[in-house]
Amino acid sequence: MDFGQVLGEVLNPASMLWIMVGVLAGLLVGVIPGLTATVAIALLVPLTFNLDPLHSLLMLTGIFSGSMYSNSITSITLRTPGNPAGAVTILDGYPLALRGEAGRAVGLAAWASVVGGLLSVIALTFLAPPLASIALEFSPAEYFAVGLLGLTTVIAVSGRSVPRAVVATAFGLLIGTVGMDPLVTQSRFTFGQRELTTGIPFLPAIIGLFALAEVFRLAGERHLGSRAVATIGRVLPTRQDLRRTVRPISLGSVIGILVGILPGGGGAMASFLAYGESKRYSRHPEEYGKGSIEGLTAADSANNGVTGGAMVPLLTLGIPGDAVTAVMLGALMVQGIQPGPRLFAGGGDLVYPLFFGMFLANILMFVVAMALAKPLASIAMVPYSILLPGIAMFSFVGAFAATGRVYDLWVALAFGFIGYLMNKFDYSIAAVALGLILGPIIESNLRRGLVMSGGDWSIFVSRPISLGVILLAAALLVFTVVQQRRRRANAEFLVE
Amino acid sequence: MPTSDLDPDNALDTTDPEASGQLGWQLVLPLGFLVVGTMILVASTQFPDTAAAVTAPGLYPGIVSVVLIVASLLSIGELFAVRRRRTEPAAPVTAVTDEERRDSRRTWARAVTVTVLSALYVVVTPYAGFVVTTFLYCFAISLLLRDRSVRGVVGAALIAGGLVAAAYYGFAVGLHAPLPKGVLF
Repeated sequence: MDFGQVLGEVLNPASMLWIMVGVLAGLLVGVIPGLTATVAIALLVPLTFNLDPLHSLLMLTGIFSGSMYSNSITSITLRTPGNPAGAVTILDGYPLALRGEAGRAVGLAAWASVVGGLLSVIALTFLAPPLASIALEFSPAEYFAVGLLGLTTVIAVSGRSVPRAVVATAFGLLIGTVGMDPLVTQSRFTFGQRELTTGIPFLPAIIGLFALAEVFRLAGERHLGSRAVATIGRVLPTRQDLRRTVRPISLGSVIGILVGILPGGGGAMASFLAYGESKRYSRHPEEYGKGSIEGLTAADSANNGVTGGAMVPLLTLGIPGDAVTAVMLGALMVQGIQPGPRLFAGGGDLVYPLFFGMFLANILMFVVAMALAKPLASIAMVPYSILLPGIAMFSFVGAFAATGRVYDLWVALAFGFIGYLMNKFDYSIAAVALGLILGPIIESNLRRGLVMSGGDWSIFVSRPISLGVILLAAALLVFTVVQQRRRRANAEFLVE
Repeated sequence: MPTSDLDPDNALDTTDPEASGQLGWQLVLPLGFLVVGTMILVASTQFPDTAAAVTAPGLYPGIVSVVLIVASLLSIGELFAVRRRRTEPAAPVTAVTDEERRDSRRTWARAVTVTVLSALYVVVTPYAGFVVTTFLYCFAISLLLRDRSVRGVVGAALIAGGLVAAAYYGFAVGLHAPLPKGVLF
């Protein structure tokens, strides 16, 4: 299929309309707390059943792009993550909103998302087959090493005390061990509770840690005004903001694409990695966690960078890399499309229009996001008497919506209380989220690697990719600690 | 206003009159984590033996619980080190007025009330259903933050009604997403 034909297939009113409908639907559903991109796609897939395969695919890509971005909006305005990656967006997005710059945060998040999404589509178009074959080389040893690399991010979210951040991370890692053992039939730390055998559900835990904990904190604020912020400020990114965010967005996009290709990677892991790396190389690391536009854009570009990366194993090998692409796979199969190498054979009648459609979906997503940015960011201006009951209610509804179990309400409540206490005593709740995300990946691959090697721990350092990643993690850890100490010494010298 | 969990302003100097500055309160969490870590370490040694030690369910939790114990001890040590460095108060301590004390009690009562209301909400929802429980929950929180006048009560009721309607029509009707159902309603 030549380029002209691809353009003709996508740049026509019907195709554009379905992309636009998908983007709008994804944006509107994704903005609701608890409805992740996976849930948004699952809910909206029935809308695509009556369309022809290409239009169905184009609409799905629109939903994918729209919902991945819009999950950031509630993270910025309400401190309520729409999806696990939202936990990273909160770190700098919410402080920006409290400073009266919710518009700037929403606008920059949209910009970072579109750049991450576009770069990932370009990578998908040109690098899909070779990248997929590299990803196939990954054994449990390499996945374990990548998990360790992710853990080095804890330094970036450590706040003022590294021991407290390590406590929080270890706590998150241990929470991830509750439930059925990943390798043998043995339940762990379930105390005889049937619900706990499936583990601690991630989304209710994250919603509790960030959103409910904030409700409890705000309710106890001594000087609680009538509203959270009086203004949302300018939405369109300034030229200076764009210049300042080139580096974090580029870094975030590349990390997003690479993590997206790895099965099981996902937006949350990519966002944490991108946040940590961007802070490491930033000229203003002290601003991170207090409203840094670099931290915000690194996380959001990585989250959307995953979209193209995650499609690589799906389209080239027919393997869904995460929950979102698993739902996408189901939707494709309903249309009679079987992803895999054969999809590229015969001229790629669907594949190349799909790639271009994804490209277009990202651009349309940016246009729609900018048009809706002001009203969406205005959520932050809602008075507290509406905001607090609203956040509390949507936290519980969001926790319940994913699985429909009352047990998830208890999880959200318990983590809300834990998050409140941790916030109060300066323990990073972002580190708990990091541990929760990476724990299952690290454990299952550590033990699978050991099973492969017959208990020989050297497997993690004897394979070149694994060794390289572990050395990189160690180097980054040392580099960051040295850098932090040097900065602290400089600051003390200046004070004296 | 404190901004995030990473903001130093958010740490140990919050509105809690007892938490700020008192070592006893600051030790609660690290000691709690120390106990959790120790319990998990003990529990992880008691899983049934499997064929190979590397597939033992307790291997990984055991390693992580040791990390948790060590990090908890370090953070306890850090608290004592900070306490030792504080030989003199940084700023002159001003007397707390009765009005400030009352204000502090009011804000604490509000935080505790919202937490208790949230627990009640989770307990009652499976019986009274989503609409009734959520309306009462939102009404109570909203009323806590408004004047206790007729206008405040009516406003809180309208807010609660609006929020419940938005959630019901948005989730249950619009998206066919599940909402908690009660035995009674």
